[in-house]
Amino acid sequence: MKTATLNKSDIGKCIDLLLQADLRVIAPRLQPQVDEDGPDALEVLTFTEVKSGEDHQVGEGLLPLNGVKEFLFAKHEPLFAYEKRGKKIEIIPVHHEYPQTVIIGVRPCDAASIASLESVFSDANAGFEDPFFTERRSRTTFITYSCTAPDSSCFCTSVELSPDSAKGSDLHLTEIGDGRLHVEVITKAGEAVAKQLQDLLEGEGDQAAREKAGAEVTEKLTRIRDSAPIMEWLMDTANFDDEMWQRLGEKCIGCGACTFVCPTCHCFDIVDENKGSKGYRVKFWDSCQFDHFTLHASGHNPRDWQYKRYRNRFNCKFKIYPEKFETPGCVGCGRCIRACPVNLDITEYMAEVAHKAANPNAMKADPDFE
Amino acid sequence: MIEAIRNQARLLLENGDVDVVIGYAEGSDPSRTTPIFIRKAEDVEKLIYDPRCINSLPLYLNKRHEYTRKGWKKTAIIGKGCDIRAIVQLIAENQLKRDEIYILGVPCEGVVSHPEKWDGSLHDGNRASKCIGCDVMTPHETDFFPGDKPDVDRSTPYEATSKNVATLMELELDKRFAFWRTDFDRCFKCYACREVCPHCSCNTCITDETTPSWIDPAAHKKGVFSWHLTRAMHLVGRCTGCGECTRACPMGIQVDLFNQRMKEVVQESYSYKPGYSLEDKHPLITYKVDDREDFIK
Amino acid sequence: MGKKIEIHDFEPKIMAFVCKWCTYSGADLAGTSRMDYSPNVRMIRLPCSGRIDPQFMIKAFEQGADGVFISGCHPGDCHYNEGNYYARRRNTTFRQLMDFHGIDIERIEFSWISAAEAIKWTEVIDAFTEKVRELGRHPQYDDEVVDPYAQFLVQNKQESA
Repeated sequence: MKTATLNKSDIGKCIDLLLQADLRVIAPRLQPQVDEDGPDALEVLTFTEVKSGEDHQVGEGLLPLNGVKEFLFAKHEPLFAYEKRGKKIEIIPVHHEYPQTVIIGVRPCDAASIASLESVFSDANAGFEDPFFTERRSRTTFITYSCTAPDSSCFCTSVELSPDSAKGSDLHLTEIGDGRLHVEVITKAGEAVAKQLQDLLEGEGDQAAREKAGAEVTEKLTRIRDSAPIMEWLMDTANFDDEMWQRLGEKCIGCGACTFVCPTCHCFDIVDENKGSKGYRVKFWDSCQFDHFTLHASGHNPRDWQYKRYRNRFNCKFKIYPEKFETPGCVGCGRCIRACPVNLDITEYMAEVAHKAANPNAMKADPDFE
Repeated sequence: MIEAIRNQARLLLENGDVDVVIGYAEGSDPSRTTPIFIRKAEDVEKLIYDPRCINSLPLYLNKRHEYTRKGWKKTAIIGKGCDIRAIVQLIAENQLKRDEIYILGVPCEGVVSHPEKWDGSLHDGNRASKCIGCDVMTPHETDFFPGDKPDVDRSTPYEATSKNVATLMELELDKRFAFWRTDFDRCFKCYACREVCPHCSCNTCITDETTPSWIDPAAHKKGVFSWHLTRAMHLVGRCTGCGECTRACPMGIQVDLFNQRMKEVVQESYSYKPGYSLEDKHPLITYKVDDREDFIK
Repeated sequence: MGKKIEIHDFEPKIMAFVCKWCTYSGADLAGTSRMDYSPNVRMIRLPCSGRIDPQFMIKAFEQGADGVFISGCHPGDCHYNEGNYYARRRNTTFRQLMDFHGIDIERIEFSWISAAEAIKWTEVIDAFTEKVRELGRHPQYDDEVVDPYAQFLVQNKQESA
């Protein structure tokens, strides 16, 4: 694997080089606030398109609020347009722009989630490839950046990842001290980008320093959970009605924030936006936490209580995904924990399941909840 | 103070006066607290109250969050002032009956604006802006309050607590609109702002209506503005200023700016502050024959 | 004997939400009396001005209206006794919301027009249309907002290529 060294202060120049090569560049950026220093002011870091190398926060702060999901799986997009003329319906094609894109500053958790999205949207074995996803995916290169300071909500090491992992990366950067970055070319796409930046890359990198930095940051994670027993416990159908679901999920308010910020969540809805006899068929993000997500036309709703909807989410992440696709359902980014207004914590569910798995005689049903 | 609350909660549960006590407990992080539903008297030790207790608990009394399906005949709830405003407003709107709620009031000196800003104590650098000028630090409507309840003058008119309202009003129209355009660009219609609101209680929210589709669910500008304007309009005269909508937004948008401006309008036009009276109807469902109409041709 | 109606480069679209007992009848009277007034107005007849949901007005702007006109019976004359009082309150607050949103509230007009006031109808409509014509096409709710996916249509791409 080709390696090199890059100065952290040259990242802005890297962005400029990529922009000059007519690439669309997406990087973490602090959003300007109207009230910059009031007591409510928060740093809002998001991945957005940047137009200059001076306007980025790559490698600073922690996780951008939005992740990279929206650049592969659009928040909303038209599938086609239509027009009704009498009894005839004409389908009018729409044209999407898929510019060549480089996303720089992606953390390892977000990078690992791409494999999960690919297993849903571009699995040739499944017999269907979503062109809206595959077109974007094939034109996107990921320059990833190892974490240096995980916060208390990060738990990637509990889901078989690490804060310096290069999974899903095309070109991987790790801070090795003295303002330098160790650069690893992982894929052909990464090689192409490295070529664009070759004037700024030098030397052979420093593998030992990179591994040391990786080990140091891995030590910093405080939220550690044992995920090994989870899938087996969930596969036992008797546990579907365990009392823990209602006890832990009672406070969930079904706001959907967790699903929208989650890098692997990918539910979507399709509606027709009508104006008279013309319209567009539109695909946009949906959430299994909404109360009408499983509402049937008959009025029956199999997930009619909020705790059942959260139970579904936990199952999806820790059983359905790994079982069906052999890719992680959860990458431990911690966004759901930070975003949840009522502090519903997926790692509490993980700990509870591990506890139940270790104590099979624990209470299954709670009479107070009858 | 919290010991008195715990003792009262224990008494209520032991005597079977209430089915559940809704309060705050330690969260999964030192900077966070979490709502807790206590059904057994021995669990009352888990109840806490400190400036980290930012949640508005009355949303669990809202039928949208399964309150009417739970079968609780009487519910005790811990409330700081702004939460009790929400409870009073729910009662004034006939969403709750006064005698099905037992309000355990707590004295409050303010809450932290966001868990990220908690550093061990509450101070001017991290106190939520909604707490500035608060007139319900000693709550106004309670069934139990630890200590004396001094008389407080709560007749001062409402003023927006965020500086941004005044800043925006000073901008010209197109600059104002440009602000909404950029700030709301990152809204992806997750509806967290709707779900944390204690007053959003429609069984089927207007955005979920599909025949006809009033508000486009997709997150383009039309869909985003349509949603936020509708939400602002549906809360006119009802929003009790808990600020939860802004706190809950996962993309850090200050969604309650609209609500704060409308509260100012309601104060100017009708001299009304929601959440202080159990009987008064809010301005949009009442009228006076001589209401102002200086803009009418 | 009618007014000369000129056609200008920009003809604004005015949406009018009117109550059927007073304003709509007043407009009807204007028509049957062969009075001329600006043809830009498109009317939606509702049973009462109190039926007017702010949602209608938001949607009117979203669908490309340049101005929105609301009218009903005079206070005290409402066919349902109180509907227009609620409409008045609703509009007092809705106007402020629109202003805060950055929409010129000169584009929203509210009037009391009774069934006998055909002349008032023509005067108010003419004046409002003129005002909106001078304000021009609605700059905030431009094509990007009104038709967000038009940019994706293949024919538009080919036209702009």
